[in-house]
Amino acid sequence: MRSYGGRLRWLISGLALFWLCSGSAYAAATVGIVTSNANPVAGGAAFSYTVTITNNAVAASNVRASLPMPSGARFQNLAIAGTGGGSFECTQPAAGRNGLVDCVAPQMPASTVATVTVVASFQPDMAGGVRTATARVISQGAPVSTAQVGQTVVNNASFTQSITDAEGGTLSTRRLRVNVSSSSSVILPAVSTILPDSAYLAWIEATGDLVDTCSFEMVSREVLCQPRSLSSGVHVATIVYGRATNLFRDGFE
Amino acid sequence: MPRSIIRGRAILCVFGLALLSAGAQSAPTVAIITSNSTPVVGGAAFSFTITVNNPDAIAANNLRVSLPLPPSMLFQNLAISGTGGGGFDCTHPGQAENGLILCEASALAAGASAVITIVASVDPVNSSGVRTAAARLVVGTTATTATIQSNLQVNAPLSVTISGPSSATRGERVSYLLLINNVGDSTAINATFSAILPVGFSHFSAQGTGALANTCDYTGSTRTLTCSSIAVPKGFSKLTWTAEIAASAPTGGALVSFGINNAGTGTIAVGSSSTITTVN
Repeated sequence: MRSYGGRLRWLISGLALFWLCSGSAYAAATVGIVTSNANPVAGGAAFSYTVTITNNAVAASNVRASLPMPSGARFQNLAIAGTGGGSFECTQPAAGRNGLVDCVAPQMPASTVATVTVVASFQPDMAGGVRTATARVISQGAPVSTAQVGQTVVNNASFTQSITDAEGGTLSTRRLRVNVSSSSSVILPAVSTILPDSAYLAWIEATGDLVDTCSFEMVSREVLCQPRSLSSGVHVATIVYGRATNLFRDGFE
Repeated sequence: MPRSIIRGRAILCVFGLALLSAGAQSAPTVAIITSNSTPVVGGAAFSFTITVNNPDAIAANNLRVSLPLPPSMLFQNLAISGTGGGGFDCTHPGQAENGLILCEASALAAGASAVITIVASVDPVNSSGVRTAAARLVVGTTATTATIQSNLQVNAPLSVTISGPSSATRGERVSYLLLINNVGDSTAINATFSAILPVGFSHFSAQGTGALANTCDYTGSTRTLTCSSIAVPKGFSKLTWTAEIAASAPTGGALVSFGINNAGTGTIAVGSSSTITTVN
């Protein structure tokens, strides 16, 4: 059991520490975030998030700023600037990957600003919609500071489809060509063509995103290709088919 | 307030805290719970909530909380709250990636708590079973651990259908469409399917999508097309199977069947299907 003297010593020490520590000894760093493009295109040009960390008071200790990349955003590169930028060191995802940007400064001098510019892009095979980036900064003994910026991602996907027929003897060929001219991918497309009467499927040779995505239904004679997405560029399915009448005819000729 | 005074107070504060901490040491606790103890493989996201609590009368210093996501679990997002949450900073994997969540704080005030909520999901290609998530708190040189178990559930009900022409003539080739539908969220692993042609029919070609792309073999002696030990993802997998009808094939109704031999980690909703082509 502690003596009354010991308890008194703890009480006085605690009160003294409360006075010492409750003042403005700790500085609070604050954070802001802006983006260079409020309407980026999926698969389109890169844009930037600019995270600004401001310390208007005395030197701040153990400053940590974090920016989780929004869903679908891919990190490209990062730059640190500003009067307080020299104190910061950042870890980030690999280029082309999603992940966390995390910047740390053991000390941030008084009345300085650090600017972290994060260049990113949105992956092409994502639907349009709102994405929110949230930056967060903490510093020792100070309240957390957060800031958000919203972006409306645009999926500008469009494609054209053309067919070229080549008649053969027993087997004929239909070349189904799809051209995606946009930077965004077409999500869950259905590309189809109807083969002539009494056609059966011999095989399909496909390229790009049409590989292993096409099937044939003999009653409707429809070749239907359903990839998860069609990326920018040309995709071709060469459909080799026969006609029962041809086979019958060839067999008796 | 002049900076010299602020600096002096800070130094005395640190010195005083050091003196006090020499006589008393805080012992924060860690706990973990989950919003769903039976998550579906490939299904809806769920959360782990880690609570770090400092019940003592003195602040805790240099806290590190870690949670390695169990195998096959994928990070979605993270939020920090609680009276002491503002002091924590976390690193984590990229979205939809497995990895380590690591949260650090230089101090957690007396009586304060921090709540770290991690949203995750389960990769659809997985078996059922128990996964254990272990949150570890290190304060100075003292470590404490809290664990929780998740019992993964596979949801992959499979059904099959086959369609083809209602009639054909001997000597013709006909195409059948074989279709597997997985209406669950999980991938069925190690499933086996087979289709059989009637007498007088023979294999000409097979063209597949999804689980049936380049996964099937034809055995002429039994006229059987077998797709063995395949992984069937959510949605449709299709196979266009073209057969040749021999000139000597029997006339009348010819039955072509398609069925599930083994659903693997999935379940059977509709196990077989057949179609009849009348041969003229």
